[in-house]
Amino acid sequence: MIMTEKLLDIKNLTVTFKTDDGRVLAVDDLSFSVDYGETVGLVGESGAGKSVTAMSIPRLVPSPPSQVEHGEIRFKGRDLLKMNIRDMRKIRGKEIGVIFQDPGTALSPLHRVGNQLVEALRMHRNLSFKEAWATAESWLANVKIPDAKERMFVYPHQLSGGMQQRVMIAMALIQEPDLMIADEPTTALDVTIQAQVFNLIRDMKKNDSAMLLITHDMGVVWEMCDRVLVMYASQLVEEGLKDEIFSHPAHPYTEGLLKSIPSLGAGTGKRLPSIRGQVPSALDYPKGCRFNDRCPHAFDRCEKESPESVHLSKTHRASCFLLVPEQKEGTHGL
Amino acid sequence: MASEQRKQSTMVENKLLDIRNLETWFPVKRGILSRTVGHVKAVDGVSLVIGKGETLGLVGESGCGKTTLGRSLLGLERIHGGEIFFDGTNLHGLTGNVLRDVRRRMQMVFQDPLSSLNPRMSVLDSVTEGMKAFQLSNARECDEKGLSLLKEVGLSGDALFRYPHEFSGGQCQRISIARALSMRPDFIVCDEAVSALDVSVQAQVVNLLIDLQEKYGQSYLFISHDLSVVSHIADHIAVMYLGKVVEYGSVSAIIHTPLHPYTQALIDAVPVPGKQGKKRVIKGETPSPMSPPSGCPFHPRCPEAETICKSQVPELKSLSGCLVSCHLRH
Repeated sequence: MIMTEKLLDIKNLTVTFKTDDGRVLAVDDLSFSVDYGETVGLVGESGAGKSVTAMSIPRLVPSPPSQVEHGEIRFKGRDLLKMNIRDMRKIRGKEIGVIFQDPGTALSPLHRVGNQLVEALRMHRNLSFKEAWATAESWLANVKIPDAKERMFVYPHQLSGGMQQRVMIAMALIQEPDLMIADEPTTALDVTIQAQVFNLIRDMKKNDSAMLLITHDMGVVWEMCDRVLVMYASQLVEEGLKDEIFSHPAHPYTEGLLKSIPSLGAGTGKRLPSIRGQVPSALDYPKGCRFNDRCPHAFDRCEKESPESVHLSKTHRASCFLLVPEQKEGTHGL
Repeated sequence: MASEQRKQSTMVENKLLDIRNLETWFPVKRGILSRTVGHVKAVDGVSLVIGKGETLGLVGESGCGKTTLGRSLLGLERIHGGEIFFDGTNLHGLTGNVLRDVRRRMQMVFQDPLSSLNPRMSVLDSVTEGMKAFQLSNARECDEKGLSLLKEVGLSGDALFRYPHEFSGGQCQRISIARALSMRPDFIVCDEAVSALDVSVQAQVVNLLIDLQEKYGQSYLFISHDLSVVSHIADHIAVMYLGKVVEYGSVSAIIHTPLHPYTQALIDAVPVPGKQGKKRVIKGETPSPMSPPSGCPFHPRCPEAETICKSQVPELKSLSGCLVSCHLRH
């Protein structure tokens, strides 16, 4: 079998932050890959390390205070972490596009929308201002902003949140990147606008380009993604195809997460199944499996050792002792 | 669905709160003389009823006036017109001890758990402040009551003398709930009370609210943009759009057989794991409440709009047990 190179291959990535209270482990020994044409969802609760993981790829996490302790981020075969800053800038925006969470703060408040798009375009392509302006205008129309011609002259604050996010999408896509990183692109938007934005992202995505979508919303994952990565307390706890994760969640955390989503019309006054306790602080993770104090199936071993990831199929793996065959009797409740 | 069952479900007995044609307008001021040039009609003629021990879910997109409605009920916004009857008393023009007692009986839980607690007050002080101000019992009993309330919402005793920043969002929201409950209210407005929380914690707080209602029997106005959370906790749902209620009915009626095109679009837009099929995505965005469209406020975005929708404002009418304001539904 010929091993083809993945678009993005992250191996044993560990990122820490220096804070006054000590060293915080934000990403702990994370490995995953994203292939051409895929949409991969990265889910987890706030503080799980999703954004740090994603922003480490275009090296947008400020250092200091952050530091990549070890690991490699291979993008088209080249390790981005070893790249010098000049080469990195050629990749950022051109080959890796980013859609940020809050378009209101990600866009410059001092520059007109048109000028910001032109800047993004001319950064990587040898275009005259006029050509770039025309291209930018056509992109605004592409992302379905009405009156694109006039909207080129407005400032971001004159646009609604949904419109600002469209500008962000246009800016990220204008270079037709191979990998698009979308960090909670619709969290700040209303559901009807969210649906519009997702339709747009789906339509605009090139067939062979990949997307890493960060979200806390399992519903969004279901609608947009091919594959899912679940993070808990800085670690990857489960990875699998969408159907595998939704129909056979292997890790108790994924299971709890799926169950605690309120479903439409399940009935009034029904208690939602919830995960007890709360996400542990990154300064003070529990020993052993980091989910052990919240896990309904935890047993002795969970408090002492960290579970290794277990492959359930070619595409599905999870880190839990319940999946280790000899532990199954008695304690297995999945 | 049996229409009789639906009819029954929209009848509210034992009214606690009766809102009639409520209007809350904000003046728009211009020029050096700050002349009022117009009004933003944040709440524009809303009539709703909330029964004793009932939860009314209020949903709508940002800017539709749901928070203003909640604040108007508690007297936090000056109302422009209409009447609010709370347990039979008209809230307009109340003064003195009567107003004070009504204030005690209506409480609020805010959206942002951290900023709604005073950072310089310990948890116990925050929770007992209201009881002490209203002299519900002497200081020692208040402290004891505070402690038992905190235990009830799931915080341990060592939380008492700590400060809000030491707690997570979910815990702060529990403290806010304990603070609201300390006044023994009959009615609590929960304004996006679980929106800022992670799903696993959100489920815990929703369950807590349901448990407390079963125990103490207070009514909730549960304001949220998230239909799925609302459908879990509420008995009835009111859907707001640009300051008006466009549909009102029991949870099952609203979720399973929505009538208004906006409600249908809102439900369709919620991403739900396992949902198949193509969505009806509505075009455009909520218009500015400064210059609402003529006729039905939803007509510029409505996939079914006809000529009548552009000129005439639809009335809220009763239809198979629900109240709906749409020209095209008969």
